[in-house]
Amino acid sequence: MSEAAVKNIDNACETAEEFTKIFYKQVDNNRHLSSKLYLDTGLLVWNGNGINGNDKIQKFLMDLPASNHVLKTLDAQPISENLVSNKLTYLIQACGDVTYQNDDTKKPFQQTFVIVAVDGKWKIASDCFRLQVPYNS
Amino acid sequence: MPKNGGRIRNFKNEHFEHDDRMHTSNTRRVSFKPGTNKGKNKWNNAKLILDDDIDMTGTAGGPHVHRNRAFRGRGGRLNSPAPRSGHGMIKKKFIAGPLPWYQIIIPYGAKHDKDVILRTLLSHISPDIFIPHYYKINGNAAVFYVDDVKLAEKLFHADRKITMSDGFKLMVIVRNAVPSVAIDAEMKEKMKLAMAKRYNPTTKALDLTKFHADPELADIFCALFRPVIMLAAIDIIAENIPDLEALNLNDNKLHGIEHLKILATKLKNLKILYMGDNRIPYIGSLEPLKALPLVELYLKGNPLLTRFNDHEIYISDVRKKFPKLTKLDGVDLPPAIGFDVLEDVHLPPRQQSFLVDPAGQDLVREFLTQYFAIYDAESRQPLLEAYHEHATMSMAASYLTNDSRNAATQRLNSYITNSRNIMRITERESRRRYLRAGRLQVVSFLSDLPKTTHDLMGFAVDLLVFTPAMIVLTMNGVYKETTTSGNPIRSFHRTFVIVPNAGGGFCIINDMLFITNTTKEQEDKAFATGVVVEPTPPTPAPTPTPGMVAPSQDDTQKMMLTMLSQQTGMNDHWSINCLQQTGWDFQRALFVFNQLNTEGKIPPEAFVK
Repeated sequence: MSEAAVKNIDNACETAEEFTKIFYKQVDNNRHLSSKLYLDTGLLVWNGNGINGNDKIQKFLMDLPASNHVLKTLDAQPISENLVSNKLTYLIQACGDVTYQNDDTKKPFQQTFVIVAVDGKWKIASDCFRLQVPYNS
Repeated sequence: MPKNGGRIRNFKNEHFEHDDRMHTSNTRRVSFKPGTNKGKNKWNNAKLILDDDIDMTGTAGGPHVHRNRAFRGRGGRLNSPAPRSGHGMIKKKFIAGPLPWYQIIIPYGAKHDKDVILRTLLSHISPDIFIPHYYKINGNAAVFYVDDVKLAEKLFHADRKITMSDGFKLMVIVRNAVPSVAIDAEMKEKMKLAMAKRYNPTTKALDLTKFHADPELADIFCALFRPVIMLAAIDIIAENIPDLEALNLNDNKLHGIEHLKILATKLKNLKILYMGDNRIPYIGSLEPLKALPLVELYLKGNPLLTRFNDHEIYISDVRKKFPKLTKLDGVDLPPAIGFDVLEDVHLPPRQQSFLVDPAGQDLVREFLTQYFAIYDAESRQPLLEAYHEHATMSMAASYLTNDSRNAATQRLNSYITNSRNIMRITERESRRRYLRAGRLQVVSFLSDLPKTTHDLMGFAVDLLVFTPAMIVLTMNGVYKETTTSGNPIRSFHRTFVIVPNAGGGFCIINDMLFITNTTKEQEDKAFATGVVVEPTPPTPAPTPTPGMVAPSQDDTQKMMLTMLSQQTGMNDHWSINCLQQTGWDFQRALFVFNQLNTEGKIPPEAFVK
C-alpha cells in the first residue's frame, strides 16, 4: 500500500472522530443547525424512511423527539477517490445508544455515513440510521 | 450477628452474648426517643450496659416502660429505666413511640373478668374513653391494644394506682407495638367484603378511610399502615376493580409509603388520591407515587405540611411531582404555566427497506442472496470472487448496554478481539493493522469468523447510492452461529460499497461490519419467517451477475447442477448461475434456459466446458 493510502486511512479515522463529535452534538443540542452538515443533495435514510435534500432533512430532524446519543464504537475507511469524481470520501460507522424525550430507555442504534470533502468542508452525502429492532415483517 | 457490626457491637456482644434478645438493631434497642437518638447512642449504649434489664423484646422501639422485672414481683424497685442512680423513686415518664398503636399488658389480668378490668380502667381515666382492641388473655396476663397515644399515656399513668378487689394493685404495662397479624385467605375474604361495601361503582371510587375501624374487621388487626396489609389490599383492588379512579386512604396512620410505588403499575387509572390525616413525614415521601397520573390529591393533616412555612412553596413542590394536578387539598389549583414544547413526540414508523433507485432492487437482492449463500456455506473461500482486488474490510463489535443476560452464548470474544473500534484502538499503527486490505486478507479474515446462517428474510436493506460507478447498501439483521455451542444469534449492521468488475459483474470494494448481541425482541423474532426462500426470483439475465462462483453445494444441489449441465450443455459456472437465480428450482431453471436460448441470449462461452 502506498504511503498516501496509509495516510488516508489515518486521516479517515481522525476525521471520523471529529465528525461524529460534531454531528451528535448538533443533533442532540443544536438540531436546527444540523442540516448544514449535509450536502444540498444529501440523503438521510432514517429507519428505512428516505429523505432527500438538505431542506427536507432539516424538517424531518426537527420533527424527531429530542435525543441524546452515546457512542460506543466507531469505525472508518476511505472510499476510493476514483468512484466519487476524485473527491476525498470516507465511510464512517457509528454505533451506540440513543435515548429520546419522554422515554428513558436506551435504544441501541447503528449509523453509517458517507462523507465527502467539498470546498474544504466535510459534508454528508448519505446517512443511514437504524435502531436495533427486529425487522421481520 | 451481622458482619458490619464493627468493634463496638462486638464489644457489646461479649457482654450480652447470652441474651438472644440482642437481635434487635442498635437504634431500636435504645430508641426511647425515636428519631432523636442521633449522637446520643453513646449515652444510651452506656446506659444499656449498666442497666441490662431494659426490655428489649419489643418488636419496635418506644417506651418499654416496664421491664421483665415487673412480672417478677410486686412492689420493689420497679420501672426504673435510669441507671442505678441511688436512692429515691424516679418519676416515670411516658414517651410516645413511632408506631400509632400501643399494647397494654395487665399482668395477672387473667384473674379478673374482661369487664371488670375494662370498667376499672375506664372509670380511672374518665372522662376519657378508650376502645380496647383485640382483648385476649395471654398466660396469666390480659393484653389489648389502643390506637391513641393520649389514651396510652393515661393508661401508662394508671399503673399501680388502682387497688383491685383482691387487694393487689393493678399493674399496667404500656408498649409501643402493633398487633401482629398473618394474612390468610380468610382475612383477605374479610377485607374484600369490607372493601366491597366501601366501593362506589358509579364514580369508580373506593373509600378506605380508617379502614382498621371497619366493623367487618373488628376481630382482626387490619391496619393499612402496615405494608403487608396495604399490599394485600392493593392486590384485592387490582384483582376486582382494576379500573379504579379514586382511592381514599384518609386517616389510616400511613407513615412510610414506599411500597405504594406499586399503585402506578397495578392501578393505571388512579387519578384521585386522598391521603389526609396520616403521618406522611416529608414531601419526598411522595416520590413513590410520582408515576401516578394524579389530577387530585389530598394531603391535609400530614406532618409534611408543617414543614412548609410558605403554602405557595408547598403547592409548587407538590405540583412538581404531579404536574397534572388540578386540585390539592380540596382547593382548585390555577392552571400551571407550562412551556410550549412538543410533548408526546413519536418516532416515525420504521420501514423494512429504502431504495434510492427502484431499479437497483433486483440487483441488490441477487447480490445479497448469492453473497450470503457463500458466506453461510462451509467454506467462505469462494468469496474471493466477490471482493475487489484492493478491497478493504473492517469489523467492530460491542456488547449491548445494560444487558443482564450472562450466558456463555452472549460472549462476543471471537469478535471483540478483532474489533476495530477506533474509540478504543487509538494508535495509528493498530488502526491500520485492523483494517483488512486486499481481497486475500479480507477473505482470510472472514473465513476465521464463526460459521453462520443469516436470516435473509429479516434483513432491513437500505440502498443509499445506486450509480453505474458505485453502489452503497446497508444491511441490518440477525444471523445464527451454526458451529458455536448453543447456536447464539447475533445482530449485525453492515455496509457494502460495490463497484462493477471487469467481467461485467460486481464486487465489493468496502465492507464495514458491526456485530453485537441481539436484543430480546430480536431474538424472539429471529428466523420467524422460517426457511430462507428467495421470493419470486426475477427473470435472470445471465450477463450482469456478480462475478462469483457457487458455494459448495449440498448433494441435492450437486445433482441439480449435473442434470442441468447435461440437459442444456452449459458449463458448470453458467449452470450454477442459472440455478442460483431461479432459487435452485430445477424446472424453472430449465424453463428459463430454454426461453433465453431460443431468444439467442445465451453467449457461446456458456457452452465452453
